[in-house]
Amino acid sequence: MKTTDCTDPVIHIDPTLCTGCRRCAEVCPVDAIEGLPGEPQTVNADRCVICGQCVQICSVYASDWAGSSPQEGAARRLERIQERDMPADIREPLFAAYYSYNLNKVADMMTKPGQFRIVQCAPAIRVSLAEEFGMPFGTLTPGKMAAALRRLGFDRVYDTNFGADVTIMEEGTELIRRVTEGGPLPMFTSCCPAWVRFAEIEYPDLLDHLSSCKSPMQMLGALIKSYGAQLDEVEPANIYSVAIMPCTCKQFECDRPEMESDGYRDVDEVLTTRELAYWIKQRGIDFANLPDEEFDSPLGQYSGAGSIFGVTGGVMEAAIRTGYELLTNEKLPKLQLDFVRGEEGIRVAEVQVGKLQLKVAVVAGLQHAYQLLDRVQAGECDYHFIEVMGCPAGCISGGGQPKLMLEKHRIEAYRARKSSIYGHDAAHQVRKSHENPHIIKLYDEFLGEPLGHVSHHLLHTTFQQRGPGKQSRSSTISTKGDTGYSIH
Amino acid sequence: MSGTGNMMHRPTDNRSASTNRMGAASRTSTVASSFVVADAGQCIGCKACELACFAVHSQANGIGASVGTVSVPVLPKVYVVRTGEMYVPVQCRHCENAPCAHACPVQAIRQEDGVVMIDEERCIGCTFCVLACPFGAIEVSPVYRAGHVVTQSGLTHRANRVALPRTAASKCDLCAETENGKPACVEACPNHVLRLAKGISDSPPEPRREVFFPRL
Repeated sequence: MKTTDCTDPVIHIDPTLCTGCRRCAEVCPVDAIEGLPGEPQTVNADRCVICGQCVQICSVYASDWAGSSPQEGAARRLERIQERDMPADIREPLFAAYYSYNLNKVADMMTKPGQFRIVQCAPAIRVSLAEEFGMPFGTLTPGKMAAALRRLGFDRVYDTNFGADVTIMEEGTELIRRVTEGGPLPMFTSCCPAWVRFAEIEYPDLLDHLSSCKSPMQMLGALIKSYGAQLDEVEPANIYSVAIMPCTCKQFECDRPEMESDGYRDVDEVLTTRELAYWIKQRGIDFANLPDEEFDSPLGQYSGAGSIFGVTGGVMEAAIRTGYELLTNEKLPKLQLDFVRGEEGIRVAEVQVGKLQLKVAVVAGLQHAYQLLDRVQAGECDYHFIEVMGCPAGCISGGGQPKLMLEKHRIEAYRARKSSIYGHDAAHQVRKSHENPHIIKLYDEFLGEPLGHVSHHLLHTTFQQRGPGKQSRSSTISTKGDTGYSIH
Repeated sequence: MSGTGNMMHRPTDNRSASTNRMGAASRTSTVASSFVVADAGQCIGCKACELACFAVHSQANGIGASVGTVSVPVLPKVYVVRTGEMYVPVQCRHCENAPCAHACPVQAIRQEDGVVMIDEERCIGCTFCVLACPFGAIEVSPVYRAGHVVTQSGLTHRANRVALPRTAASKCDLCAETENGKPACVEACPNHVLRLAKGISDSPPEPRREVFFPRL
């Protein structure tokens, strides 16, 4: 397995376990799984976008009874755990497809003295973490999650949802500027690292269509070591910043050389939902009976718009809630924008925003992106704004989310997680990013204005070509009807 | 030994003393059996059937939908076997006049409505049924309850004197006692390799005499 731009291939397939069923190849949107049926598969790391869907679908596990004796089986299991750098006391079955684990590294760093330990949690974790403790699909547990993270030793528990609110301020302003001043359109979201990597590998000529915004995780990471460090009066160099993500590609994103500000990494390490669950179990924390605790202020206080980033269409909905009001100076009459919600691979709509007929599209699952991007390449795509998420239902279905044993539960789980996220949004008093008082204060006290000098320095980034252009498959897509939609 | 079996959730007092003395012919049914059959040529070896089987039979160990809730070894009742270039899931054929039931010295195996069931509580893990099964569909493995292995009182490891696990026979029960009663492996197979072959009997067959493994 050779790799040119990724020192850790991140996604692995154990050749001693893989039976060559190629179900992973079926779900891979970029044909990165290579091998003959019936033989162990390999991951082409140069092509892999690290979405982790192969890890989610793999059902080939190591049997504890495959050895000649139970002792031999136990010894082989321990060897595999060590090879994968998984926690030694892990009890769940080991599958052929897996991703690189960071928990041991993080747990070691947490014991290092003199550090100010800060954690942030993605929107999609709070609706799925409980499943790792046997609770029903979609159980909403932000309070227990914050409590668990404090018991794991973090000095500050912040929230990526706050970073999502900042993203809307920056990305929304960028869209308005591109639409009014004539920038490359359509503008694509840049929150999903698998999508960004996909564009860099498959469509490098379209990179100027991507928003220059860092993802919410990276934005909050940069703010933690600047604004947050000032508020807490700690040296950025002493901050150890961890992010809990539903995504297997976030570690790759965090390791990108450009993801640093003033010499400090935006985020030091990323753990998945499953790794957080391992950690909570390892420390003997009774998750189900934890009290609900608040996130820390100000970087843990978010709007409903920030929380819906975890589902497909969420970034679009949050952006329209803010963009509409910033462009028209009028109140948005209805906050629940059903036309971007849904389960189709591609949804398109036209939204009347003042005098502008805004044409938007939402893509869920990278296999659906090819046809749209081909149209952009051909200059035939007249959308203004396109949200792309690499995973089939957005971050709630990410590669790092709880892995399900029964395939029939997948749709049920995704729906429950999504419903829980929307319910969380509906329960918020503040549901628009630009009305989050802590966001207003952040811009007043620190950032100045969206797309300003400080924002540009901390919150925006560049992208790089990683491949010669499209090599993988194209797929046919079905779109939800291109219905004109007016908010009025 | 406490709790209920992984497969068998019937209270033990349902079995009368007279049942215990019944011969195997009385414990095996004349109802035509249903069983899950696999198309070996189509199996891709993904083991989704094994995982699904384990998932639906593990309620007694508190295992939920997520892999993260699994705290015991995966012990399915269907086994994907590789022969040369082919894979095939192997599981119980629920034989009429079941040889495993004839072989069982403690009457832990009985046939109910065409389904051959093993009472894990009664099983002594002797492996006679394993030897008798013509399909290799039965495994004897440790018994787990509430996520922990059940130990066999009086049975200890010779060297370190640690109590050894209690073992019991286990095999496909056609998901007879799961929520929807449909075989989970059939539902889970992505290639539709497995199907439930339903036994249909127009008229009750003649009563049979014991022919296999006559009791001594």
